[in-house]
Amino acid sequence: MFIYMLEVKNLVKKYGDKLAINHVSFCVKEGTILGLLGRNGAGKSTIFRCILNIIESDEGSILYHQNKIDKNMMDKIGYLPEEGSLINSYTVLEQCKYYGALKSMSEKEVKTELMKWLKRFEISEYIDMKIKDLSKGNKQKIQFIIALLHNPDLIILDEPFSGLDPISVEFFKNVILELKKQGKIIVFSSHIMGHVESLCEDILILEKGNVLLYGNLNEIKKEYSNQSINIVGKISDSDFASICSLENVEEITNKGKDKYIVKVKDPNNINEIFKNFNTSNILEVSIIDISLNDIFLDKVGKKYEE
Amino acid sequence: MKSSKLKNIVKHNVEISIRNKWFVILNVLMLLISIVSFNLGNIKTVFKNQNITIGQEEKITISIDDKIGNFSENLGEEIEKANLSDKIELTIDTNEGSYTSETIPDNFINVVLDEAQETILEAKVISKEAVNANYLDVINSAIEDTRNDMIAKEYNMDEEGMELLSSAPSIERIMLSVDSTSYNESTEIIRMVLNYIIFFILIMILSATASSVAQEKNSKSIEYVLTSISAKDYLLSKVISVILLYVVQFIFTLLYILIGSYLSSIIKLSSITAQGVTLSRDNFTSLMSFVDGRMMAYLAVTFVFSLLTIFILNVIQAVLSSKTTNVTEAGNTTIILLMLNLVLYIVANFAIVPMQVPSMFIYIISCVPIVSMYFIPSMILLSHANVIQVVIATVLLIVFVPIVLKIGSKYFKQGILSTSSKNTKKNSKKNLSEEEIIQKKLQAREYSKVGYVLGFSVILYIVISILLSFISNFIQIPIYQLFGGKISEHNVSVIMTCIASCISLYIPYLFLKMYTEKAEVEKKKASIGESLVYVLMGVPIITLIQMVTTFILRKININYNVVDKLNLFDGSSILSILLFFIQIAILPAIFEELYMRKGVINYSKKYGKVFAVITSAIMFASIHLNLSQSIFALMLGLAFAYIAVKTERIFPTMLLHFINNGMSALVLIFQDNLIIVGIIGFIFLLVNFAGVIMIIIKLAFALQARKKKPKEMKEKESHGSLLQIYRYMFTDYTFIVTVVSIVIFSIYMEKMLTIL
Repeated sequence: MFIYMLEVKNLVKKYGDKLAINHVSFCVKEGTILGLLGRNGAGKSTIFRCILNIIESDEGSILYHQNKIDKNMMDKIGYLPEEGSLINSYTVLEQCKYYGALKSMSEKEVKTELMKWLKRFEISEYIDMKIKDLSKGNKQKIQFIIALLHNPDLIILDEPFSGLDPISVEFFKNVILELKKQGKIIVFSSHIMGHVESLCEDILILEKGNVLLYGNLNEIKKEYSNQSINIVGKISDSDFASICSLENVEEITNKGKDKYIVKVKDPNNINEIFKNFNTSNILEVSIIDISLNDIFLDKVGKKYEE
Repeated sequence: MKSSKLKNIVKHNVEISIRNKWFVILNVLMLLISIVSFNLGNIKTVFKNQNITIGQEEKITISIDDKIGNFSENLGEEIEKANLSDKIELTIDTNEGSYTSETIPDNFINVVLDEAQETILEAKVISKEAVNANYLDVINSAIEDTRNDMIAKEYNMDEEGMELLSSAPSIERIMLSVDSTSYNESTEIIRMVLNYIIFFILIMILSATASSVAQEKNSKSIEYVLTSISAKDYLLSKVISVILLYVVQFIFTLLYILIGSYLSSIIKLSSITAQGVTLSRDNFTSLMSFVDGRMMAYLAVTFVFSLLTIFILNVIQAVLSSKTTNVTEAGNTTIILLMLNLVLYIVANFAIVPMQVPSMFIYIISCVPIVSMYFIPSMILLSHANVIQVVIATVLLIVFVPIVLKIGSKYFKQGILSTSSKNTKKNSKKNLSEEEIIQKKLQAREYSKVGYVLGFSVILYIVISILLSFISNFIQIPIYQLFGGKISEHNVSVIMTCIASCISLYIPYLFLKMYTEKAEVEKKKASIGESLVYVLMGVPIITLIQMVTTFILRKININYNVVDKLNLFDGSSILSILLFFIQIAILPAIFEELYMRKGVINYSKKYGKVFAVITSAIMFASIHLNLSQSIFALMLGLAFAYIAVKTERIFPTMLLHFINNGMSALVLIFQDNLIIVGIIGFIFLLVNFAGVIMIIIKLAFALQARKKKPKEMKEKESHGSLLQIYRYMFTDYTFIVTVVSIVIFSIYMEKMLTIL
């Protein structure tokens, strides 16, 4: 079956002799959301720019519906740039008309679509206001609207939640989930893990242009959480020694009073550990449910130490 | 689809600009101006009773003081002829021209006529201000008439003979290679006006492009735009919309002219006497009278060439402003292009002159795109052009448009996304680590700043000393008067020069002090005794340098004494001798040392002691601004800077400087008294002798010390090599200006001194 999707293969981009992206590959299917994670300057925006044809990649290919992305396809792509892309001297309507014209929309279409979106975000009174008079959050809303104005199939959002209040964040999230239901392909970047965690199926963690981690979020989480066990209680010295000598146990650390974290190699053989609790007083044993934040810190932090 | 996008964007841009409030305000203003200027006469008649005057429309009174007799008659005739009788009033005057600027009334001309020996007639025309040339012409011809009458009377000639004598022979100039029949003044006016209009449009269009590109770049809206259209299309849309905007503006302007003239004609019809400039049918036909074939060709060619050239210039402007980071910078790039155009315009005006066939070089130059806009149309109008030239120019221009667009869009995209990174590429060859590259960059920045600081301090010195010498020239005499002649004029000027030199040396010192970082390690000052030893050793070195300099100057055939040449010494009174001594010996010793040895060395020491010594010596030489002193100062500067660095004190070199300058001053002061000169010479010789002994002792000690101690490990210095520092100093613009101006001033001074 033919699946509509965005496919990025072995993307390489150099600025001078500085490697901005190093062989990045991923694909996003219809109706799914990919979250790009990374520290500042990790190469998230560069990947977006390559997809959008703003800059040319040095190697690799970007395929959308099995075709190379060219200028004719641009009307099907919505983009929210990270830094403000609005012109201060324009009013909201003028700005939208300008960007609408760039996406081959008629003025009438722009007007009706804009009103619809403004109503949805409860800021219809801003339609005639100058961009320079808007607050940062409202500017972000306008940019978000502009990205969606022409009903694109591929939506690229660079840091969509920056500068927003919590209620607006929920608004945005609802809209994004709705778009997902409509079968759009959505790629977005963020450095706030909570947002990514609550929205994405897939994640891609970047560090200095290299892919550190890529895959389904739930699977990644599972993989991570299976690896450590949290034990609360008193472990006697003899038990401690015998656990340490187990082949499956990689490391055992004492986290404060009566708290231990045991890292295991094979999560399927945890039973072995329990057998060794002969003289200990165990209160609680749990498999650690790891958050994306921990994964990120673990991955990027490790990389940083090297 | 692509073209429709382009169209949409152009439409949007033009719409936004036209509906902008400033566009509206500008146009309303232009409309008002055109209405007012076309109906000036009508407006004046409305306000006639309020007595509004514009320009020199006021009635003029000519008062005549005539000792010959028939001038007023002649003047009357001339006034009749010139049709000015309602504007000129004649009176008889016996004031004999003794008016002053206070007593003479406004709009009043006094003419005094008297007989003269050789020229027969002598006339004075007196007025308070400049007078309209029409009136002066009338008066001048009346005076001429009167003189002719007198000559006729004197030599008994009849009027006819007189007229024949005063008439000019008819001379017709014919050039066979140039068709001059169609050239007249109106063609010249049309050419001028058209060039002005093109220039005006250029200013507006280029600044509009610059600001809109800069705005879109800074607002990052460009990123969004480039997701939809290519950089080339975007560039094209910008340029086209800006040009369209000004076509619209041009049409509007034409409309305003029409409205203005129409209003004026309506008012005229309703029989109000109007005197303003009107585009009546008569005027229009006279305007059309010289619109012949050549004129039409000129207008058409001008249109085509200016349109294409403005397009090219706009693309260049857009590319330039894409490299800037804010609107101000973008505006500066506009000025660059406008300057280029201004130069071309002026060159074209000089090179293409009516009735003069231009050289081959101009024919070749005129084919170059952009240049051709100023050359080809004018050459066609003045019939200098030939077909091949015009065709080549046109083809080149048309070919140039897509080339510029293609190359431009490449750089435009690069600039507008700021992705170019030449520096990193350059460094990659040397295999340097990232940290080293950054370190190098920072170092280059720092050395370039050294160039700025040192260069600017010298500029400060030069500019302040020139400025102060101007000022002192002005206030010298008032101050002399203030003292009531108790001090001679020469002494006043010496005092002023002293003050000026103090200030002009002290301010650069303060400037350097501002940039000098406080030393982290406590300076190891030499003890006073040790410093005195250095002074003693310095004296024979000075003598040596003096001898070497004299030898060098003889070799290169420069043989003069600056103090002598500039006539500085005046031994007329004790005060003047004292002042001379202060000027030559004391002040330079204090202030030059303060600037050069303390300021420069303290500032530049952190880049190495060698750098500090050499730099201070070079600067010391350069501020003297003439060769004979500079060579001496360079060597002296090296020695002094070395002593200053060694002792970390300023007073030893001050003392040495004083001894050096004081010696020559004393010799000059007592030049007539051989005994005193002899004594001074003897003392100097003794000090020299002591100094030589001191040097020998020191050298012996130093040699012994070296034998005992093995070579100390040289501390690794954090700064770069000497050459590196100097190389980076030349990357600073201020420093380059300083060096150039020092060279120019030195050459100028050298010329001055050899002439004197």
